[in-house]
Amino acid sequence: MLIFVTGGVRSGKSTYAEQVVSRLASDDRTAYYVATSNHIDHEMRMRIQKHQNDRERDPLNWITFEQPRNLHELAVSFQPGDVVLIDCLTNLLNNELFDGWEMNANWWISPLFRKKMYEKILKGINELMKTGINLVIVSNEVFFDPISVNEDGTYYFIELLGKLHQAIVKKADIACLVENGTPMFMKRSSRHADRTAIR
Amino acid sequence: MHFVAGGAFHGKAKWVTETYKFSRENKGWFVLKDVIPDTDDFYGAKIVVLEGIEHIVRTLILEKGESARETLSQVLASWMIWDESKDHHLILIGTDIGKGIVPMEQENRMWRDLNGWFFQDIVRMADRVDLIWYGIPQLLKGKGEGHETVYENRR
Repeated sequence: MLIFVTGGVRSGKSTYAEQVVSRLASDDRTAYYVATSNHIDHEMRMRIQKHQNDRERDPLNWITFEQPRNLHELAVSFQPGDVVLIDCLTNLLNNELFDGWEMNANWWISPLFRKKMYEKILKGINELMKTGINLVIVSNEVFFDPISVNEDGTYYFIELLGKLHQAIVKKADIACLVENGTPMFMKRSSRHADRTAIR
Repeated sequence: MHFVAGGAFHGKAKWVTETYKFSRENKGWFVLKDVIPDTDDFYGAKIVVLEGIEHIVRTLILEKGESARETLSQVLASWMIWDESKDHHLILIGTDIGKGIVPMEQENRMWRDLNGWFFQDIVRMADRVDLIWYGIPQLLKGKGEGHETVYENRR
């Protein structure tokens, strides 16, 4: 099963996604957390620490994978029925699209490279799904500023993220937008409704 | 008239092509940049799709400043006259740009404001309005086929 959770900054999307994972986890109470950020600066480290502390208080036994790129590599790590949380897609796309920026590589300028990165991320998700896991993907809403007229890195990032969201929502069994901690279900198959309903 | 709105890169145009079985290559499909199409340009088409309403809002602001609002309502009125003729069907596609940070530049602030007002005017005139969320339609106004309304969807 594939579940897509999106929302604005501090909307409670990660907390909600972790609740979903907790409901899906089997009796041994193990869940997998795929951390996608390249924790580079102090602020990012603090945010990660906050999420880690929250998870430590959780009765679930979390196993963390640090995977800032190359999602497909994780496929060998899971068994059918495992519950896996990817938090979040925006970091993953950022790391793939702007790979090599420290060396001024600027590969993102090439349309072919951008297409490859889009396909690579979707292929990574497909390969994880093929292992028979329950996958929860968290992402972020970044689409409501006036779009930049210049086609710069930000423009392409937003374009690819939007396209990824469309493709993932199409595949997903459940897709929701979290507003102030409350999930609004945009897509839900009735078969799964009882297992994910919060109340 | 059918208004299709939503955030950038949410699959709005794709949804229109699938819902109306009407390709973007069709001569009735206009991708708007800085030219405002006149109803004479619609001649011979039964379905007309105007994609990127927000771009003409910006164009008019750069040309006319505040008075762009007046021009926009005249333009909309002329489109509506075309739409009301028998067998004519007008579809407008617009990107919501009103939920971000207040822009630094005055022209971009005005763009956001006028865009929001113009979209409200369009919704008032429309027979049907859909908000597209990553390819999924939410019906805001009128009757659609085979999908839930926003109200039914929020559980």
